[in-house]
Amino acid sequence: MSKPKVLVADDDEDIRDAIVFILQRGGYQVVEAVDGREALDYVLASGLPHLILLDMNMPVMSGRELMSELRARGLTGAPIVVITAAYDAQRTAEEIGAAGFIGKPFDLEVLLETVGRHIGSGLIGPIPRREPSP
Amino acid sequence: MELAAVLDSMTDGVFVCDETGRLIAINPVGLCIVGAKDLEEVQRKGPYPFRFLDVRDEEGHLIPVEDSPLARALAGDPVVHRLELIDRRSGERLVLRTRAAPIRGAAGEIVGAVKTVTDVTHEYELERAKEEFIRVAAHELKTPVTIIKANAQAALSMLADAPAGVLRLLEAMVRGADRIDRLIGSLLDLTDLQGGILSLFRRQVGLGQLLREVVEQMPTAAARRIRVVEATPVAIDGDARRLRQMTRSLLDNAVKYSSDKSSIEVSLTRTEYGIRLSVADHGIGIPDDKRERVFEKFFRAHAGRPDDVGGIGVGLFIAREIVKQHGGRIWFESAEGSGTTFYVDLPAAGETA
Repeated sequence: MSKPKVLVADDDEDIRDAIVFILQRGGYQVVEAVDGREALDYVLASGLPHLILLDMNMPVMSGRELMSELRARGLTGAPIVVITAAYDAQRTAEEIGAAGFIGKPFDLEVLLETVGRHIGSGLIGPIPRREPSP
Repeated sequence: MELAAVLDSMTDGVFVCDETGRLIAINPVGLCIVGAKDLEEVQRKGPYPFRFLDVRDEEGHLIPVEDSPLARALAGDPVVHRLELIDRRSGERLVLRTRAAPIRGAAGEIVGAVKTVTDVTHEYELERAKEEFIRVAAHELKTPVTIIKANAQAALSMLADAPAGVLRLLEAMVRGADRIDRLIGSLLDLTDLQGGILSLFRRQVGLGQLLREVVEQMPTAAARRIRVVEATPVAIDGDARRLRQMTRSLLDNAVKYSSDKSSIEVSLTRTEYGIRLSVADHGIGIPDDKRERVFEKFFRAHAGRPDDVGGIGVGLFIAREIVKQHGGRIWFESAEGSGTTFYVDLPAAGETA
């Protein structure tokens, strides 16, 4: 069986390099994108990967924008794990309906574990309704 | 010297009303603030001088007339210091610091009220700009910290067979990055707290498990000194990340202010009222004259002393806010030279986890 494919979209080359390195060592096939637009172009040309690792804050097209572009095209067949420096990474992920999240700065072990847990595990969910505040 | 001349030359706005709330005197700065040319014009507009303007508090909520400083003062309740925001018709926003006090007659009865207003728009905006700068700068630091940590860890994963010395160097880089990250977190928390908010993301949190995790994540040398005496498996409705941060702060302090050889005891127990976390060290203790201030922002009890170990002095300030937001309380007992114990009481959710 071929290696599971992970699309890594992050505008920072130094961060992307470390992620790609560790994922490749972890046995994944990795495709890189420097922003959401490049990631979208890749998906449109080559189809969905097994998982998308998505930085939220990118020029040209942000992670959030990419997610709505994918949704609009019905391309919801790959789980998305967001990488964010926002204080509440978990809340951000839940708000936009991502499968999982990784807060910056992250542990590479946590990154591998999170990718492993979500790969092939699910689809992009609908944007969840906000729970009414108590 | 005439009193009117004194009022006229004051740089603060002065408003005086009678016992019905009718404005009976206003000085030129006051007129300028409300945007009127004379007392009569203000009087025509209503009983309280700001009634025809929307006056808001710092959170942007309209302040009702009955809660305006003059109305409060007439009710015998002086207003010492309150920030008020006014949006002028010109679109300009004024930030005012107001004070008001009742004026009493010979028999002590309230015959009117006086309010003074200082225009602090400039100071307020500078303060906001400073907070914004700290927020942006702190946030920007997250990327380089991520680069350092991720790449050091990548190198570590490559060099599993390298000499122990090399691994130690890389591990130190990872720890350094984690420390910068915690400082960044403190700065971001401070800017949040400045705006009066520390929002919680509540979920069911197992505190016993959380405590063990926080201890495990301490640097090895520190973790070895920490003895978890009891970790009752109790759950509360709370923000796991905030509770972890608060617990880590208490542990960091216990480690920092005690000898490398002494032990630290932590326990999590049920009490009559809920759940109690305690962190006890056998360290240098908090000097008597500093006790009242340890929860203050930027206060460091050991600053400038030989046992000063650094820091920016916000750990306990933020910890207290976290505890407060969870409906709990935090306090300590300390004896100089023999140690400090911090206690945190949190209301229980009643379930176990």
